[in-house]
Amino acid sequence: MARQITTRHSIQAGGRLGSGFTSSFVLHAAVALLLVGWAYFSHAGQHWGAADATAGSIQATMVSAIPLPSKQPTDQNNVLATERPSPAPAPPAPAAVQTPKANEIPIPTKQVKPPPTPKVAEKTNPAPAPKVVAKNTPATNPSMHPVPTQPTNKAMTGEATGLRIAMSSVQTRAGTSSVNVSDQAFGSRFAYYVQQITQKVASQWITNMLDAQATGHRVYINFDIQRDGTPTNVRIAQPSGDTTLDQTALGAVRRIDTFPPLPDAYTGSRINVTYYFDPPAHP
Amino acid sequence: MKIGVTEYQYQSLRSARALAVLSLGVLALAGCHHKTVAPPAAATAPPTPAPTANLTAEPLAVDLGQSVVLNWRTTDATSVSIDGLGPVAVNGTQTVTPSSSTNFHLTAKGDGGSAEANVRVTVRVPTTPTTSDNGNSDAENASADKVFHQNVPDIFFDYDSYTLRPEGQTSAQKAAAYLTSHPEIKITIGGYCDERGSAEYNLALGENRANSAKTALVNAGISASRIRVVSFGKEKQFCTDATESCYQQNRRAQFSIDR
Amino acid sequence: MDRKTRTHRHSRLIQSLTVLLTLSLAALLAPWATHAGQDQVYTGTNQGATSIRLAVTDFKPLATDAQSGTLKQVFDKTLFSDLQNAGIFDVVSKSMIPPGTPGAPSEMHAENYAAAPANAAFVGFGSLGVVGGKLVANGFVFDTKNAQFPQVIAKQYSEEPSEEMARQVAHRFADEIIRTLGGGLAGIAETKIFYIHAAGGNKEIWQMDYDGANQHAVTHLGTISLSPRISPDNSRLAFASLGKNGFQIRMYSLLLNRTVAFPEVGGTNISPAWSPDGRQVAYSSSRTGDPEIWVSDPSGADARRVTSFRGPDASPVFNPKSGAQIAWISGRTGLPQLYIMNSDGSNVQPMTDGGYATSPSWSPNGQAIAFAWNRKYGPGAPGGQDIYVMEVATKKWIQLTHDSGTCDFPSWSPDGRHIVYACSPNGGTERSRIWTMLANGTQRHAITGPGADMPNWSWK
Repeated sequence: MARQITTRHSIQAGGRLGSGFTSSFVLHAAVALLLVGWAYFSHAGQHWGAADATAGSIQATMVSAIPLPSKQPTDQNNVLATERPSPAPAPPAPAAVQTPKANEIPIPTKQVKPPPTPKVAEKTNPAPAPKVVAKNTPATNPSMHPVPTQPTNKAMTGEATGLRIAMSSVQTRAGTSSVNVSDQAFGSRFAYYVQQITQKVASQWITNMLDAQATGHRVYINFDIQRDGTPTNVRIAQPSGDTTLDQTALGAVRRIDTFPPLPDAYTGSRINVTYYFDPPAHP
Repeated sequence: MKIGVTEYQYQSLRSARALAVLSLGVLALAGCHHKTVAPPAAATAPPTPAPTANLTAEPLAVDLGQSVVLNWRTTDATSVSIDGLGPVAVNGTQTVTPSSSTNFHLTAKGDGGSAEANVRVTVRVPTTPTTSDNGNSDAENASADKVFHQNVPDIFFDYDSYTLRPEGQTSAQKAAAYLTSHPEIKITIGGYCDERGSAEYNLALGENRANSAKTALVNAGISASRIRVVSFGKEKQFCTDATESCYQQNRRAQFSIDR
Repeated sequence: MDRKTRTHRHSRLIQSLTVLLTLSLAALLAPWATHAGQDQVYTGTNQGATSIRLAVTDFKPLATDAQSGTLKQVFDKTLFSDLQNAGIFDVVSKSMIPPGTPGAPSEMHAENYAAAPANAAFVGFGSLGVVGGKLVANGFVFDTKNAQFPQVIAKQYSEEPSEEMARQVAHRFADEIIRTLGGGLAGIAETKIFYIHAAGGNKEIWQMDYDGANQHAVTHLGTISLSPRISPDNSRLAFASLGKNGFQIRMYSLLLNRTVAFPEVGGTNISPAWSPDGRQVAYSSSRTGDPEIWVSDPSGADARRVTSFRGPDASPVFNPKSGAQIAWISGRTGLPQLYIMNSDGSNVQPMTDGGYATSPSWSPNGQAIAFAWNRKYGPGAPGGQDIYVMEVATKKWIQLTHDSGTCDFPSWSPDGRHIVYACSPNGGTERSRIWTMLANGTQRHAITGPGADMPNWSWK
């Protein structure tokens, strides 16, 4: 009985409290909304690291405007950390074993459209940091590594230890840039120069950020480099099918003012270069 | 069943109340969290009596190697300093032997503000007494300078500013009055800045300060052809302490006779 | 029914309370929310380019006399520090390379330098000595991974045998290495820095090598001279000097070693700057009463005013890539701020909007402006003036110096990788020193003693 009375009281109390409570909370909610709104709008223009609305927030990456190499993201205490070259594929085994058949190329996106020159093995990149990757192919399948397909007699001239590069690759977060020089002899003799072209193009690519929607197609850009290093005749040699990707790749080369001047020992007046870009595979 | 409902209601009310307290607390936190940028506050002077200062030198012109006695009196000042001598007593004398003609400049600071006094001592080099361009001897020029500086006070400015303060306007009026009564005098106005900030910008700012002073004189009727303007930026300092009072000393347009 | 309503009402209560709690949490977190759109897209810097690992040996002596020994020491030391300063090499410490001084390609086994612990991609070596009354040097650079064609550089130098020339030869060889391996930008080892040297109440224009060596006076005017700016072809030096008529622009010919004509005009004329084609000079002039930016040809003729703002305008600098824009400092809104405009005065854009900004220097590739900024300037505020770099297109900036006193007058090197600047404990020239650093703020070191200020890096 007492319980019931209590119950009734509490029910009634609850009822009274309920309606009063509700209206007071509506009021509180309105106040809270006002506060949130004020907070948002009064601080919407402020950015960290700036005293004003026009200056942007502190951004370490804006030094993309400065032509310095990146700092190695490795342990500073480990002196030798940067000296370990990234794992790169071993120099290819003798050519006879590994030549892939023309119809044997399983992954369409990884297919290397043959430029006029035969393919050459990846060089073991002497600089420690850029991860030289053999064509994004899975490491477990060595037969997929591109290997010399040229007639064997020609391959003999470069067969000694060391590398013959007409082509080099740099893999970065935005994807893999690969450069191929049509003059095979140039590439072997001036390996360091090809490496520089690749790095320069790859760095332009990073700073001209890629459209997040770009899918895994490959675009080929072809251009000449004159004696003094000026790039000329920049054009899309083969589009990827994605115009945004094509235009971004084209822009990346067009924005380069100059490459290093051609090596003194090279007697030609210019070289022809094909650059192709593989965006990273999206999950 | 009813009891169950009641308990549920009690519990729900309790948790509602807890939620309410919690959210109000968070709201309060949110309000406190937002920082506001405090604008730099400008200092205002309290209205206590301003100090006064008086500085004399005896004699005003000497030969090289002779001594001069500086004598100063101040009122309502708590700290007094003279350029080149450092902090001094509020009243006192000092014997100096300047090696070249020197502007002695005294600053008296007190609760009511600050005051200054100048006196110029001319030192004659031991060759034949030279006559300056206007045909007067150095002694005559020195005494004319002294009278001039007593009647034509320098104008001081706020930081990064080249607009005349009210006391600057007063000084300009005084200067104009003196120049009107001495129509033969031509003047140079030098613009100066304190040592903070950049050399280049301060040269431009010094120029603006001197020009402001010139404009004030011209508006008071002095012919612009009698006034020459030179900016020294922060290249010539009247004092070199890193204190606000020294900075103020350096932010000025200085009048001097143009010979 | 009653029960249900009540229950319903209470659960609604709980819901609205939860909403309120969420909202207040949102209010707490609102400041972070407003920055969601500003996330940086990438966190590395210029990831495509990496430091090249370069080993350099001591050169093999070509002769055994004492002079050869001294000159070789100077050469080895200068070459090593030039390559370290370049900013693009990871120079292998000499203790980690195989011992020995190969002097010629036949003596070089490059693969030894590719192995651990050197792990070098390239190795520089050669020989040097005084032969037949001349300082002769043969310098080589080999690619350690290209066994068939290792040679990248082969140069021979023959100069007067003096320490100065030993340094110069080292600079030239270093520049050759940088040019060949550095992606096309020329090295800076042969560039010069012009600056102010304060002594005895006067300030004269001095000159030194980019690394602080060979400091000597250029002007002897016996007054206060400021803001030296060398012309793009290294032939003339423009500066401001205090004379009878206040500060005036002076033009000094380094070929004739004397001042050449530049008209004196009324007012205060300061802070000259050259256009990249060397055909125009911009400066601040108050001939009309208010200091404005004027542009004239290098002899002072054809002067025209480009700004018309109330307040001090000074420190103009041309965009060195295009020559079509000018950045400068204006006090038209109060404290001095950084602005850019087209060279004809149109399209004025403010770049900073607070603090005390001064002394802009435009990077050689046209993309960034370095300047000195005190973001907390004001009476009584401690403030700190530091060197900042701002990207022109985005107005995003980074601070390069910290806690170094009052820093001012940044000047870019011609390769865009280095900045020279002056720091002073109190802002005065007497205690100011000139420092140099990589343009990302690392590798800072002083290259002069006290009394040096307002550095200007040559264009080549």
